[in-house]
Amino acid sequence: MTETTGLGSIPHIVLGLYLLVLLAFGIQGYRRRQNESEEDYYLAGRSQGWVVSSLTIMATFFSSFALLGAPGMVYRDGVVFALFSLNVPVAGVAIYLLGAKIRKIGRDHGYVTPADMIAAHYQSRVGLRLLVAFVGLLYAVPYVVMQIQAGGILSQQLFPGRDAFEIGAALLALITMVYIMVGGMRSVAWTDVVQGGLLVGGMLLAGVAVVWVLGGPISFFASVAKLPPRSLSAPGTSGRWTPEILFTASLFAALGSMIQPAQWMRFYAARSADVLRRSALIFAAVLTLCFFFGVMLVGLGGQVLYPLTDAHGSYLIDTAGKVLPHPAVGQTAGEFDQILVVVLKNHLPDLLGSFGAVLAALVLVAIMAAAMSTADSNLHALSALITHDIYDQFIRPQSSQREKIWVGRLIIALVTGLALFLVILGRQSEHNPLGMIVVLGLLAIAFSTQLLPLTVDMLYLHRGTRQGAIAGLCVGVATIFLLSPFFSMLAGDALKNVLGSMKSMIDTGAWGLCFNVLTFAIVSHFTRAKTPAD
Amino acid sequence: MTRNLLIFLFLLAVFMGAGPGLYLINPDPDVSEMGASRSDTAPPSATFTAFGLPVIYVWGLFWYAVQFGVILYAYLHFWRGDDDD
Repeated sequence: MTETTGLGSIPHIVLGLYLLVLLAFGIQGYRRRQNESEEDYYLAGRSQGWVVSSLTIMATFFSSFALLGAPGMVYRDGVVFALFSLNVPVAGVAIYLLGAKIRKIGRDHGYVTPADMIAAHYQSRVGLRLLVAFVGLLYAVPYVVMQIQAGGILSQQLFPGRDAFEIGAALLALITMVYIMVGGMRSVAWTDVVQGGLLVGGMLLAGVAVVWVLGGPISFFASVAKLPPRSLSAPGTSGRWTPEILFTASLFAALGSMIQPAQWMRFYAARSADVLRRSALIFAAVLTLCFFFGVMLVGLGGQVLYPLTDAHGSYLIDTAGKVLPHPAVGQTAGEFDQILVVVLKNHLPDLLGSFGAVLAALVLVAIMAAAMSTADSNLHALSALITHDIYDQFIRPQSSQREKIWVGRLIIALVTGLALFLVILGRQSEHNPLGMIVVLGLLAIAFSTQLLPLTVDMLYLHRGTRQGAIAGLCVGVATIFLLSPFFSMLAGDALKNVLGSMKSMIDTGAWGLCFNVLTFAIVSHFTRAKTPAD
Repeated sequence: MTRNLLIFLFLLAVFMGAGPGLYLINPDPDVSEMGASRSDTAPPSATFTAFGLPVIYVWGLFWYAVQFGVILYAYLHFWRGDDDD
């Protein structure tokens, strides 16, 4: 691969070292295993302390969205998207209020997956278990695909050349797959410590770097104050972020992300309630500051360095009327998220020489870390969902612990291969696969949010019934499907106006949640509760 | 009582910070572009900044401080580290 990025061979060295460290942690995780059991492979023997728990929860929460998507969104829409940072303290509170209870019940009953707890509570061995596992798959699969794709995009930026995308995506997928297969949750969590540290450092470093490029904080904010009015107000340049959309997206994205299968299993894996208590505080403090003082500043600085308007103050727009990034950042409306990479590559080495190149390489490796840490957690959770909730329950209940772990490893290999195949196939397609995958990612959170009513009822209210839970979940998932692009692909223009106006009012996940809660409450009211309180 | 106050404060911070409360301070870009909301002597960015920072950014930082204050108080006084529910 040729070196035309302006960073010389430094990214090769930093990336090589990073991947070696990951492999070492993976092997160490295998050597520290206690036995060949599901509890050890999927939950690290329920022994994780607060440092590992904090960082693995952070690393799982933030995907490549944190370092690519969020600054890209601020670059496109302006400062209003910085308020999305306020979803992080909500997620922090959920770590303690939901996580500590989930951990206790999970430890007392030996649960491994979310479906274990929900199926047992509502006494639904088949229906609810399969539904909850299905919702988990709807969340995890697109997330794995998105992260592998992010590895390809980053590789293309760092090492421009033929097949750079495919090589980057394959390398990310292969190394992630190897260390999960070898060491299970222990390896995933330990590598997440490295990746979480890089992620936090990378987010802050990126913000500091952009402020530095623009001459320090005073000069930076003086330049920002001269941005077009739409960049400094809601609903932002594209008109997307009305306060209502921002509110529902912030609130439910946080909660949906915190009860997705990989996080749920991290709650089970915590050693004590105190671990989650500390993790909640660290999460709310550190990550929100990383957003506000890190990546969000990159997007604002990006608008100063690479304006969205021409010399006459008119926005650059495409034929569909969508706002376009500056030509030096990207050629299409889908390329706003290149802003961080473009700013670092083009400005830091000029400003700081070799030291700047090292800093830029570190932030770029942090993007890789963000992608890998989310991919590994979701691959690991996917393996648990399929092995524990389907294979063990319905296909071979008599299988030994050892067999189940090997089946889990096989599933990790198969899903990784499938995800990589989809990424490479999608790239060669004439359609717009990247756009579709981003849509899938947003839908994934909306699907996961549908587990919230069940979770809150199970942990706090104890009023729902099995029938109410199944009906609510089905209605919630069906609502998300109706509001997704898949429905319009199948049904054409049917209900187009109604669905369009619904989507412009509040977030898709919030609509699903409204109908879910309503159905859950009504059906539970008319069916006799059979569930004993925990 | 304190617990209810904390819950109220936290929900208020979410509603005000990243929610409809934003309407209270959100500058209207269209009005400003026409120059109607600014005096002749004010700089173009006057309605969009506070203390030299974008007003929405300052608004977000303020409500984050409220959210974190609530979390810190709950951590110190209510959240328990043992397994008793």
